[in-house]
Amino acid sequence: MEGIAGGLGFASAAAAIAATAFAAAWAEYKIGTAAVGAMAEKEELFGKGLILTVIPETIVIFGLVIAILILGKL
Amino acid sequence: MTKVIAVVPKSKVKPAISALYKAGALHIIEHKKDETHDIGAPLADSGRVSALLLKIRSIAGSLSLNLPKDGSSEQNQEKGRDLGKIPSLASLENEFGLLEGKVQEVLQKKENLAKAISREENDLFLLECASALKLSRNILTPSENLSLVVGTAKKGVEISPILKKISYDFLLRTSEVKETVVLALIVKMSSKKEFMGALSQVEFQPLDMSGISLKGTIPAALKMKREYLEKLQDNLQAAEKGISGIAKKSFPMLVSANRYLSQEIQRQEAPLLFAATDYAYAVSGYVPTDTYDAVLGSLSKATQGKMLFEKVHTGHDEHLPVQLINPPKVKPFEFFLNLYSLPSYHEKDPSNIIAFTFPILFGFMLGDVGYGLATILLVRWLKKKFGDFPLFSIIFYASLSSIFFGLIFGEYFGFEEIGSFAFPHLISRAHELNELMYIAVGIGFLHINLGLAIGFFNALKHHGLMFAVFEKGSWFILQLGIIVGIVLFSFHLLSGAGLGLFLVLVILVFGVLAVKGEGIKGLVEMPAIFSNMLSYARLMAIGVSSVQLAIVINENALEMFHSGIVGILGGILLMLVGHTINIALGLLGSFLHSLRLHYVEFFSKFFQGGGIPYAPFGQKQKGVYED
Repeated sequence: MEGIAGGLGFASAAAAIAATAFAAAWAEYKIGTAAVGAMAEKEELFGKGLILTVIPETIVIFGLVIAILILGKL
Repeated sequence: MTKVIAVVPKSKVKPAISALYKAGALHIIEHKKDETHDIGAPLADSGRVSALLLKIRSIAGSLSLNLPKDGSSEQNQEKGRDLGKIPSLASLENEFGLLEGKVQEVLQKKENLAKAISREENDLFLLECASALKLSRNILTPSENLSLVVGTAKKGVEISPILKKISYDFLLRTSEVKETVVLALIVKMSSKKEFMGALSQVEFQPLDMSGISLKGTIPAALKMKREYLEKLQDNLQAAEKGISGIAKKSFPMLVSANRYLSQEIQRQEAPLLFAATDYAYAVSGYVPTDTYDAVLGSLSKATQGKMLFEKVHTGHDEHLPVQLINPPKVKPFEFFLNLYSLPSYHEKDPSNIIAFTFPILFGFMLGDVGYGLATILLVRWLKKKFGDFPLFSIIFYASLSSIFFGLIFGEYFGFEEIGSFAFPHLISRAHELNELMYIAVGIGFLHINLGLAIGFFNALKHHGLMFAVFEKGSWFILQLGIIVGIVLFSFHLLSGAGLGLFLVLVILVFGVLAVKGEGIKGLVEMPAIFSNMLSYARLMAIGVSSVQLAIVINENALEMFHSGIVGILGGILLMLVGHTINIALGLLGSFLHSLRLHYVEFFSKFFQGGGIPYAPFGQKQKGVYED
């Protein structure tokens, strides 16, 4: 696929990654700050803090999957 | 675990505690004071033992010695004194009383010397000032009309112009001693106040010269002072040497006494955990079932049969302590459960499954023969340097898996080919992205279903078949239904509308079962199982990012190889630094993501956690003295 449609395809793939990456980063920033705060109070919370912090990572993985699927169609 | 209540008469509590401590098997449930039973009182010597312990730690503190904590590594045990008979408290008190006296004496001596040195140094400075400012005895002798002011001032400021603003009637000498500006000013008594005001502009700090001895010449006094100071410093050094000698000599003794008394204080204070009546103590706790008879036998023997035991039935929702028992190869993987939460008593310990699945996920992400070998070497070095930590063993097994997947992907430090020779591979991560993604999600499908299967068996064991089918089986039905629907559709046995209807039916069946098993939560979580599987696409994402970085490093380095000797050196440097960074990133990323897939996606299918670690009362390490 060439021309405008192809270009829009690439742009959508980029948008899928960019938007989800920002979303994941923002969510991790919020959770990470809280988790570090909680850990300072109670060190045993490291495991739980780690899990909560990495949960939003899935968002960017979804973005990546979508981007790859879009690129596959081009 | 078997729950037991033991009752012992107060007269036999001491041997009973000793036997309990030696057995090191009873996880005591602390008795809380209630209306009927108070808690026990510590044994008679507890005050003396804790006072002695305090004394030993204070001696160690004043000698700047770090005593190893109880339960620390074997290496520290070696530092302790040779095994001998248990010393009596009185002899220990005597021994450490003497040592404390000696330590205090030498420390006092050192302190006095330090004080004297500081005083003499101050005097020496004054003398040096007097010498530098050429102050003779005549000048230093107080007079009626003239006033002498000596002191220090700010560096780099001309002082006399400031003073001249007040009057020209003064005599000023300045000099520098030990990088400090010193000045001597002679003014009329009547104008002293104004001059002092002006001096405050140069941060003037007066020095008290009245302490200087006026006998003899200043150079002679200086020489004497310097000699005396040297002597004092020699004495201080000798005193410090003496202290470190005492510290070195008494360290083994302090270590073993500290360990013995730390154990003894636990024994002395054990009755605080017991319930007390007028004549007896009662203690309840958990004993591993297989050691039950042996422990009770030894307790019975130690108390001449005066200790009574009764097995107690444990309720189903009672939180029994758990102890993870795994073969040595799996043991390091218990680290992940300690970090997260121990399994509760009634569920399966997933360590052995993690020991199998963790390296697979890790290796899939960091699948490179070269990187695997590099991390193995790294781990071996770390083990040698820092001792055996579970984390190192985990990375070792994970690295083996990296090598295995490296062979499958045909990757050697990012190279898929050298010259015209292409390494054999089953799938190329750099070129077959889509296939890799499907495999990654497929691994997720297997991993999650493994989790569901464990959950199914946990539920089957404790709640029966029906509940297991409702709670976990429903998920299998949902997945199976969707797969069957898609297969039928792709073989044209179902029309589009038929597929839709079929899926609605499957979801309906799932919904009914899940609501029965897990309540409304099960229904709400239905899409989560698919997002969980998609989450495994990260296996591909992390892996590909690592490969691409390696390829970029290699391409740039190879280009540099064509531009002479400097280029070759630069290329080698780029490869070394680049691959080191990539390995570090790969290790961190692969480790954390693999861990996350276990904690979030895998554990949520079966793991409840919340287990209390089994912490038996008694010695975690061998005693210091013979018993």
